[in-house]
This record gives sequence, structure tokens and C-alpha cells, in this order.
Amino acid sequence: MKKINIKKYINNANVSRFRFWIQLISFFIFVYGGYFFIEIGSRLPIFSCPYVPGSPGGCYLLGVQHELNSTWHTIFSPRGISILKSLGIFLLFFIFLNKAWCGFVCPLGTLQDWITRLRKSLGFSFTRYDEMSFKRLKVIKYILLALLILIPLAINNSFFGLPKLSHSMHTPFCKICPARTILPLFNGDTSQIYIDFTDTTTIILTSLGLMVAALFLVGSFVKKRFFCFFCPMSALQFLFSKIGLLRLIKNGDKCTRCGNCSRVCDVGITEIADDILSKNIIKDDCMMCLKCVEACPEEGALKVKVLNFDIFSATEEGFFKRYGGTSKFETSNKDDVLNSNKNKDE
Amino acid sequence: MSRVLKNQILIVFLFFSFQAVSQEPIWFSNQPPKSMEKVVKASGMHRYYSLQRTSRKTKTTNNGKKYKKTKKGKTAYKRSATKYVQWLRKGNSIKEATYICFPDSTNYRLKLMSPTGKEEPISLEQNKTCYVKFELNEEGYYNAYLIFKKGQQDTLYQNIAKAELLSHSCRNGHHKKLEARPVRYYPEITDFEIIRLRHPHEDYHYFASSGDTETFKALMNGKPLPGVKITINTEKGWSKTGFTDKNGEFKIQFLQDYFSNWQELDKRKIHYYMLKADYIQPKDIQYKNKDYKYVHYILTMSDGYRPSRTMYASMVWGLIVFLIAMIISIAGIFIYKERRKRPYKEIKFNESNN
Ligand code: SF4
Ligand code: SF4
Ligand code: SF4
Repeated sequence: MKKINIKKYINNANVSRFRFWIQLISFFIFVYGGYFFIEIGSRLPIFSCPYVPGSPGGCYLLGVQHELNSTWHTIFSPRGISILKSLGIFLLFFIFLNKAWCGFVCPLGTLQDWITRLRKSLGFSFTRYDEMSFKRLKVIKYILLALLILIPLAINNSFFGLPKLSHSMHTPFCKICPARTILPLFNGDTSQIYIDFTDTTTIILTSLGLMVAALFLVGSFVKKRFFCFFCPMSALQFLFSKIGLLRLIKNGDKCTRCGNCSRVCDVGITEIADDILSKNIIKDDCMMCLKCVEACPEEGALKVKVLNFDIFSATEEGFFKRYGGTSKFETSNKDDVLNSNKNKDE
Repeated sequence: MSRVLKNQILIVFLFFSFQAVSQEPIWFSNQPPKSMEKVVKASGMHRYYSLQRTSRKTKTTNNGKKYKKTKKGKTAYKRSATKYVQWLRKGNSIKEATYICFPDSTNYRLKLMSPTGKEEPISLEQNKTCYVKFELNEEGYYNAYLIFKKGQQDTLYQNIAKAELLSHSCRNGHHKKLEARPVRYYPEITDFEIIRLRHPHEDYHYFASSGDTETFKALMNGKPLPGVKITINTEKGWSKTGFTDKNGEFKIQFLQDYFSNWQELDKRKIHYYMLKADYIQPKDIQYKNKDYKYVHYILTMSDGYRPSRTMYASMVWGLIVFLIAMIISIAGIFIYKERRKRPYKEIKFNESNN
């Protein structure tokens, strides 16, 4: 009897508010934790950027770029095992939260959500990509992922007899990553805002880095989770998201395709509503924020599972608690859902 | 105050009276001699060298790769652990110092302490060129010491060559970066010691550069020691001498002594410096059945610094690029939105009821 009540309590809960607090705490840990002697691994599936003086850990993308900055000979020698070991550690972290690392923990993701809040409070409207642009642009993160793997390799190895790349290209993604330039500012460290005049490559890369930082700030002001859409970490995560223990499950039979879920989705995933065949509904851009589950009024149409256990399901009661107007449960998504018809017409 | 002054005067007096018989100090250097340049390689961004790794029981293939035949007939690579080296040099300045071998007859103590305070193997290699050889397995600063004593008249000379060796590989990640901050010293190895104080945000990637100020602290049995004469000289021949203050501290700002066009600038170029600390302590002491009245400590340390960041990095240009990019993006988005308004209806979400 008690068990059912707990379940009901969770299903009626306001996950977005819970997420807000988890994000706040995580941001604090991943930007200031180092000052409190917190040390978390250096193969994290989020932008816990080691360029941030107070960072308690390290982002796996930096590790990958460093490790692949080796000759084939080294990679295929026993030292190559360390590359697999790092991947293993990354997966161990990743497997627990799956893509929820993005929705709940990543400091750069959180920052984008805060910029969105700021935009809302200033009363500016936001934009979404149309379907064509969405499909075209989402490829960029895979291109970035491929480049961040290939460039370090091409520094030490010649591909097809081409000359090797300059060592100034090492950790190429970090050079253009907005986390490197923006997150240290929260520690009062402005040292990453610079152009490196050592050679032409460094001038171009560091300039690009600052352009991306500017675009990040402006972009996330008009588009929710603007950068996540191009994030190579998200691409890398998606390659392994099938093994994640936390899952977003859809029951197509129960879905009425009302479209609530896709309308509240910050990333703008339409398949969450349109796809009624897939069971595992996690898409590459999904950050498992669970807003869609919150906004779904059909009993059990969307569910969050750990292994085979339901931990959070869409219920009619939960939906009405959250969106039905009892002020206690009013959320920022409310307007997205209640204005849904209006938006549809536009 | 007068007491400190008296002490200092006494020390200066003693120092000059002993100068005539003072020894040329021996120190650890991270610069290889010409004869060894081929067999060592600079270790990443750090300022020390490792011996080129050789394989045990291996043959060399045509393309120079080394391999070993296994039972199944497959080839497997076998490599020995990376050995790092420090060379022994003798002389009062980097310019004049020579690479030396240690006379076998001299009694010396060689110690290597790991970042966690464990003693680890270190050995003296006495071939054509002499160097000390060791492995670095943990992340953080290792301390290496070579100590020897020599009696002359009523003074016992104690030469302490010290090296602080940062062991870090970015491949191991950066979660242990705080390990770069604690300074470890070992009164049980040497009562007199000089330490380099860390900067507040120092991590594994810290590297002094010209224009930076470093603080060195003299310790006697772990307690601050004022009045120690410190001389620092650089590769280019620049030198500075001073005494430690009442907290035992001595500050030095490295001058810029590297000038180049920006196209040719090598931002990783290391300029070496050598620090020598002299301290004479009146102390009745017995060594090898002989009595001495004074102990003359000579501690040496050598490290390097790079060209200043201001030589190749510009924050002003960074801000300009950032602001231009910001203005262009804002304008771009504005124009895009305006354009889309005319032919189509703008996709506008009304959130103002909030
Ligand atoms: S997709 Fe967004 S939240 Fe996820 S790692 Fe990238 S920046 Fe962080
Ligand atoms: S710069 Fe970006 S990619 Fe590089 S370590 Fe920092 S967060 Fe990761
Ligand atoms: S699909 Fe659902 S969980 Fe994924 S980002 Fe969109 S709203 Fe969040």
C-alpha cells in the first residue's frame, strides 16, 4: 500500500523543479568543487572543464584528444590499453545516468538553461529550427566528434601520404569549446579570453574559440540549449546510449500524438511525439530532462526506467497536478503546453 | 630587530671570511650535455628529460620498430619503464658550470621522495657522462637530493643538490591537480632546505615565465631561516643576490631575456636558472672522527622559465574578436528574424503570461 503511495507521489512530482536544484548543486560542484578538495574522475561525460581553476574533475573529450595524439605504433602497443581504460571509465560514469548527465549535471547545459530563464524573465521570444534545418544542423556534432578524433591522430600520423598536422592543433576541440572560455569566468579567471599569436594555426583556433563563445551566449539567448545541439559530447554519448541503465521508454499504443511532449522539449525533438513504434525513445539530442514525461497526459505512455523498474511515469493525475492550474504546481512549461494550440496554428 | 641584524652581520662576515676556501657547488641540471642529446628526449611540456626507451630482448625490424617474438610466433612489443635523468654539474653559474662525474671516493647520499612521501629508487650512472636515473610513477612533485660532506679546516661543507621534479601526464587526467600544490620537505634527509612556494592556483600545467615572481623559502629543521644568502643566475648570465627575510623568504622576478619576432617565437623555449643558497652555522660537530666548528651549507636547485605569455597572447585582441563576433551574431539573428517575418509568420511562443 505504502509502495503505491510513493509511486504516486513521484509520478505527481514536479521533476523540473527537482532538476533545477540538482543542476544548481551540480554547477556549484563542477565549477567550484576543486576549491573544496573534491576530486571526481577525469573521464566525465560532461563539460567539467579542467581549464576552470575550481573544477573538481575533467571532461572526457580532453582525455580522448590527448590520448589520440599518438602514433599508431603507440596506440597499438600496450600503452594503447590506457585508451580503452579511459573509455571504460567514461562508460562507467555514463551508464548510470545515460543522457541525463546533460539534463541534470553538465555545467554548460545548466548555464544555457539559466540564460533561457533570463530571456524569459526579460520577455523575449525564442525560436526553433524548422524541420529541415534541424535535420541538417544535427549532423554538425558528429562532424565535430570525427574531427576531434582525427585531428590529434593526424598530428602524429600521416593519412594517405599527406603531411602531418602542426602540433599547434593539439586538443583542437578544446580550442573552440565555449566551456574553456566561459566557465573559468565563474572563478574570476579571465585568462582564457585571449588570442594566441604564436603561429597562424593558434591565431585561427583561438579566434574561433572566442567567436564560438560569443555565438554560445547569443545563441542560447534565443534558442534553448543552443550549443547542446552541436555538442560532440552528446554525439559520443548517443553512440553508447543503448547501454545506459536509465531509459526513456515510450508505449506507442497509449500515445495519442497530442504533441505536448515535443512542444515542451527544449531541444525540439519531434520524434518524441511522432514516433509511436520505437520503445526506447532516446534520441541523440535528448538530454533526459524528463519534461516530456511531465507533460504527457496519457497513463504510462512515457516512462523512465532503470533496468526494468519504472521510476517515473506519465499519469493523468500528475499531468493535471503539474499543469492543471493549482498554483503550487505551476511550472515554466505550463505556457508551452497551454498555448499549444495557438502555436500549432502558427 | 637588532638581534636579526646582528645575526645577519655575523653571517655576512663569516660568509666572506670563508669565501676564499669555498667550494664550487654541485647541482642537478635538467639540460643534457651535447654528448647525450641523441639518447634523451624532452618529456612533453615539462622541463626534464627521459632516456629514449629501449626494449629488452628485442630485435629491430627494417622500419626501425622493435619487436620480440612470442611463443605463438606473433610479434609483441616489450618496453622498459621510462627512466628520467638529471645531470650533475659543478660551478657557480650556469654559464661556467661543467658536467662532472662524481669521484667514487666521495661519500654521498642520494634520495628520491615520491609525492606521497615514500622513498623511491634513484641511482647514479657513472659512464662517460654521469647522471642520476629514476622513474616517476605517481602524479605530483618528486624531490631528489644528492648530499655530500667535506671537511676543510674548521668547517664542514655540506653540499645539497636538490631538484623538484614534476611528474604529470595529461593522459592520466587532471583530477589530481591539487597534488601540484603542497610543498614537501624532508628535515630527516637534510636539516637545511630551500623550497619554492606554490602560487595559489598552481596546477600541473604551471610553468614559470619571465615576469613572474617566485618565492623561495629557507628552512632549518622545517623552521623558517632568515639571513640565508641566495644567488640566482640565468643561462644568459643575469644574476641576483639577496638574503632571506625574517620569514625565511626570498622573492625574485625573472627578467625577460628572450626576444624574437612573433613568427619565430618559440613559446615553449625554456631558459634555465640556477639557485644557490649559502648558510654558515656556528656548530660544534664531529664528522669522520674530526671536530668542526662551523657547518657551511650550500644548497643548489635549478629549474627553468618560459617566455612571458604577454609575448604571444593578447587579451585585448581576444576581447575585440569576442565583441565583434557578438555584435555580428546579434545582428545576424535580428536580420534573420526580420526576414522570416515577411514571407512567413514568425514562430513566436507567447510566454508573457508568466
Ligand atoms: S550536450 Fe549540452 S549538456 Fe550535454 S555535455 Fe554537451 S554541453 Fe553539456
Ligand atoms: S575545453 Fe571543452 S572539451 Fe576541452 S576539456 Fe574543457 S569542456 Fe572539455
Ligand atoms: S525528449 Fe523529453 S527528455 Fe529528451 S530533451 Fe526532449 S523533453 Fe527532455
